[in-house]
Formats: sequence, structure tokens, C-alpha cells
Amino acid sequence: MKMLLMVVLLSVYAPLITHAAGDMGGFLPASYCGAGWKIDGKTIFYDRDTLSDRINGEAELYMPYGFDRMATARYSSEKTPAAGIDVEIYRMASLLDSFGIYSNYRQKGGQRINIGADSNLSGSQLFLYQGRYFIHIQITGTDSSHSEVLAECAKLVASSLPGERNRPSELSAFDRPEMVKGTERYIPQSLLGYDFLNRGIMAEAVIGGANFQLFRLVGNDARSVSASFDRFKSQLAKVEIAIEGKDAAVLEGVDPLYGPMIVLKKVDCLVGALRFVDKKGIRNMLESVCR
Amino acid sequence: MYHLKENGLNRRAFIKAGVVGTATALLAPPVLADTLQQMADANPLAFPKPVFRKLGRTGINITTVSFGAMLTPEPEVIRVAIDHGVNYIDTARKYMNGKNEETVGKAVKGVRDKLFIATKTLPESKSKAEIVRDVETSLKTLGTDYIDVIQLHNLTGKDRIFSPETREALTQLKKQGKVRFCGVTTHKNEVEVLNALVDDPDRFFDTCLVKYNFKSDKILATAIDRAATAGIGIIAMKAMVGGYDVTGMGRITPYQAALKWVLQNPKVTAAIPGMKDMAQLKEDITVMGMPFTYADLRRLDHYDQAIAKFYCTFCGSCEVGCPHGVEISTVNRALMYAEGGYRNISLARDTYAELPRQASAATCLNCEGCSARCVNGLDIAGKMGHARTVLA
Repeated sequence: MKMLLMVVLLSVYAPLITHAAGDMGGFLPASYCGAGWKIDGKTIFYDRDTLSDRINGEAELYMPYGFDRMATARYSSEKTPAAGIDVEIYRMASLLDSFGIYSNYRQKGGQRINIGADSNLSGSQLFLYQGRYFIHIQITGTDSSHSEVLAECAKLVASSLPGERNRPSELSAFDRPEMVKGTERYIPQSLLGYDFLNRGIMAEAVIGGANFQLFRLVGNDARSVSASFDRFKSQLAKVEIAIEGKDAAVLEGVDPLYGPMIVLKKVDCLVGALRFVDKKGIRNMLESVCR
Repeated sequence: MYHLKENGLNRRAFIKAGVVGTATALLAPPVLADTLQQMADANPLAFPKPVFRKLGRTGINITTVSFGAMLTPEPEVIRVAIDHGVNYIDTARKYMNGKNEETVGKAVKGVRDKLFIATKTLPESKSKAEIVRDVETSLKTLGTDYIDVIQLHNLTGKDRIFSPETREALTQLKKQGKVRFCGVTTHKNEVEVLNALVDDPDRFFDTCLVKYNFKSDKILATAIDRAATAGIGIIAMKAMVGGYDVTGMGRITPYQAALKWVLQNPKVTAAIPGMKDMAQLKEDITVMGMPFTYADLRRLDHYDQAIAKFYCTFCGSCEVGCPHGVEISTVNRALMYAEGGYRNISLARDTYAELPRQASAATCLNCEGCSARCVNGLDIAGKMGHARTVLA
């Protein structure tokens, strides 16, 4: 009787379970990922507990970005049996998180192609993100460059992914001519290696021919911004407070790790500049990033 | 050596616990006294003197707490560790597609001769050409002309240890002065890998970076003992059982205890915890020279008990028992974002808002009793009620 009840329950609720567990399977091409690259074996899924079985210790990098599931499949070459394309689709917590993990892997010399919200292509691998999804496609077993093969496969994968091709709205503050394109990184914890800063975006900028770095905290309210600002104030040496009001304040000082630093808080916005040679123009830049 | 009881904390529990605040549960009376003692002793500004052990037959002396660089966002954090005596940095060609080696390269600039760098070839690199290519790329990225320990990444068996092509590549690199010592890393089937290193008549490999922590079984400890006795330098990874998110747990964390547990084994030369900020750096390197005490043992054991009551594995098996199709695991995940390591209420609410109303915890209001059951004993009705308060 118990067995019968179990069978009835499972038949009623099995579709729900299948959906909850395997809803990423359809994102991978079922038969071919580009002409001549045929699926080899089944789609394999990994979750937070098992991702390290696939990518070992590197899995820890993904957790702060809210990784919850990965689907992967291999497509083998019909012409060269040893060659294969491994496609990995990682579902992260949000668009900002998928951008964040992507920004860790993006290479300076990589080529941008018109797939996903952004993409980075080299001879043997391609990274992209779209919506909550971060995609890594790698070709192995061949020495020659196969950029077109990777791009073709990536187009197929991206076309089946949900999510718009827009960038995270948090990056819009960095859409300025002084910013060095493609240098934005989202750090979900311990920005600058300080636990009191938590989440934020970093990017490179150029003023007067000199490079420096900017950061801006994300997802904070005025209270936590004030707390972070006060922590900065307490640890900087040679602090000069240029402005200090209830809603806005600027401080300049020497950070024990990074040297000269300028930090601006404005209501719920906290931005800073570091690794600069000349502070000329930086305060104005910080003001505009906080706007 | 102290050991946890057999039914103690498992790996999954420990990792999940890292993102579920447990401070309150940890304040059970037997632990409180220990914790207060620990906090009273802590000096937030003091770094300890480094403690060194010999890395097997390589003969080099490295700090017992060395630096796992994989999670470190900025080179300055690594540099602080170096300035305080940490002299062994572990990275890999694979981490962040080589960007982690770039970070390490910046950190060691100007002090390269004072420390030892270990990196790893790509896991998929098997041929001589691929191994040589990886090392050449690492040298360039790290900004150095030699690597102290080059490791074959993620071995799961003995085969590659005896591969003539691998040895040919590594021998050539050694002769060229590009690498000093060769090692392997292993997360799975560690005992076979360790035993193969010992049984190799040529004793080709000098070190093994192995997953080892208080949840490891005695068979692994025996293999480590045998390998170390044979002169293999043993470095432990995953000393914290794979997780490191102490947000929301205050200063009452089991990580120092976990690290001390690993280092109490004299056959282990060092552990390489991943350190991403100054707080973790301080917490970890302070352990150098500290003994593992009975209080640590109890701390780890209590941690196990504390988390068992309220973490969700998101297995979804409870959802079979809900007649209305509430997606309980997603609701719990949203709660984790709100109250666990993330502390990100907007992410939590967004995740919760993605659920159709009938799959959210609001549906539970239509039920007089909850028929969903958790295999780990979670109070599902209680958690759904809590979710309505926090996330709706």
C-alpha cells in the first residue's frame, strides 16, 4: 500500500522535481554545436556541492557570485576524433554576478564578438555572459586556432539562453570617456582586500595620460556607506578631510596597502581612487561616478 | 592527535554552514567560555612570528601557514603576508585563466628571492609540448625566471605519475633551470596518488598538495604519514573543508581550529588557506605556532551540531510532499541570500520575486499544516513563515 502511494505521489509530482533539477539541460544544443561538432555523451550537471568535482578548488571562486548550477556537454569533431569542444554554462545569482565571474576570466588580448552581453574570444576558448549565465567554451585536442568554431557554437548556446543582452545597470556609473574599456571587475566580497568594503566594482581610468584605479561600492544604503567611510577614515594615515557634511564627505589620506587614496561618500554612494600619481582631476571624476 | 567523532561534520555541511549565520547557535554554554577566552587573548594588530617546517626532500623551509592565492583580489594582500614572513605562495595557471598568476607576479615583484612560488600546469595538459608551454606561460605571467615547485594539477590516480612524456617535459624544464622541484596536487583518490609517489622507484616527484582536513579518514592520514616518511613534502589544501565565508558569524569561527587540526600533524609541512582579505589573513597566519587544544576539538564538534538544525542542501526532496508545489528549496535559497554569507537583501528579494506566487511561501497560508518533510530535519513550515516575513 505504501509503495502504491509512493508511486502515485511520484507520478503526480515528478514533473515538478524534473523541472527544479534539470531546467538548464535545454540550454545546450541537443545534437550539434556547430557543423561537424557532434554531442558526445550526456549533459552533466553540477551544483554547489559538486562543482569542485569538475573544476576542483577553482569552484570556490564561483560561490561568492551565487553559483547554483552548471550544465556541461562535450561535442566531438566528426573529422578529428581527438578534438572536442567543452561547453559549460554556469547559472549565477544575478546579471551582476555573471558579469563578475566573467570579468575574472576576460583576457586583455581577447577579441570581442557580438554574442551575449559581452564576450572574449581567444584561439582556444571563449567566455561570455548573458543574463544570469556565464559561459565558458573551450576547444581541446587540436593545436590550431578555431575561433570561428567557438563563435559558431557560442551563438547557438546564447540563442537558447534566457536573459537580455544588457550589461548590469551598476556599470553605468563607469560609462565615461576617462574609463579604460574592458577593465571593470565586480568583486562580491572583500573589495581591495578589506572585509569592511564588501561588494563593489573596480575599473581603470586615465586622466592626463596617467592611469589609476577607481572603485564604487554597490548595493549599499546610506548607513553602511557611512560605516565603510568611517572605517577608511580610521585606517588612513595623514588624513585630510576636504568636505564633511551629513550627506557628503571627501577624505584624502594614505592607505597602509595602497598608498595615497581619495574617498568620497554621497548619501548611499561610496567611491574611491587609488594607485594614482597626481590627484588633479580625480575628485571631479569621483563626483561624476557618484552621480 | 585529536579526532572528531565519526558522525561529525561533513564537507557539505561545513561549506553550507559558511553561508548560513550560526553565531547564535554556537553560543551554547560549553563553547561560550572558550570563545570568550579566545577573544580576550586576541590582539587585533599583532602578527605572530612565522613558523617554518621543511618541505620533505626539497630541503626548503616554508611557513606552516602559507598562502593560497586563488581568491585574493589584490596583490597588496599577498604582499602583507610576505612582509610578515609568509614565504610560500601557491597559484595555478588555470585560476582565472592565468589572471591569478598575474596577481601573484605583482605581489612578488622585488622580493622574489625571499620566497618560494608554486604553480600548476593546466589539468588538461598531458603532452610534453603542453607542459612546456604552460610553464613558459607561467614564467612570463609571474614575471620570474624560475618556479620553485611546478605541480601537475588535480591528479585522480597514479597513471600520470609514471607517464614518460610528462617526466621528459619536467626533466627538460629542470635542466633548463626553469623549475626547481616537481609535485602533484590531488583532491580525489588521494591515497592512490600518495602511494604511487612513494612506490615510484625513481622518486621523481618531491611534493604533494593534498586535500586534508579534520573530516579526512585515517587511511589518508596513514598515506600522508608514509609519503612524508619517504621524503615527499606534504602541503594541505581544503584545510577549512572547502568553505571560507565567515560573514555573519562574528569572531566565533571554526576556521582557526580547522587549520590547527591540520597542522597538529607533524607530517604536514604546511597548509595553504585561501585568503582574500586582511581579516582572513590575520585569522589564518595567527595560527602559526598555536597548539590544537581540546577546546578546538569541541569548537569543531559544536559547530557540526549547531548547523545541522537549519541549513538547507537545496535537494528539493521535500517539495514532493507539498500539495501546492511551493518551491521550498528556492525559498530557502532566497533566505540564505538574506541571512547567510551574502547578507544581500535585494538579491534575496529578487530571487524570491522570481517565483510565481503559487510557488512562493505565501501559498503556505492556505494550509493548516505542512506535509512537506525535510530529510535533514529542517522545520520547513517555520522557514516558510520566516521567509514571508523577511522576503515578501
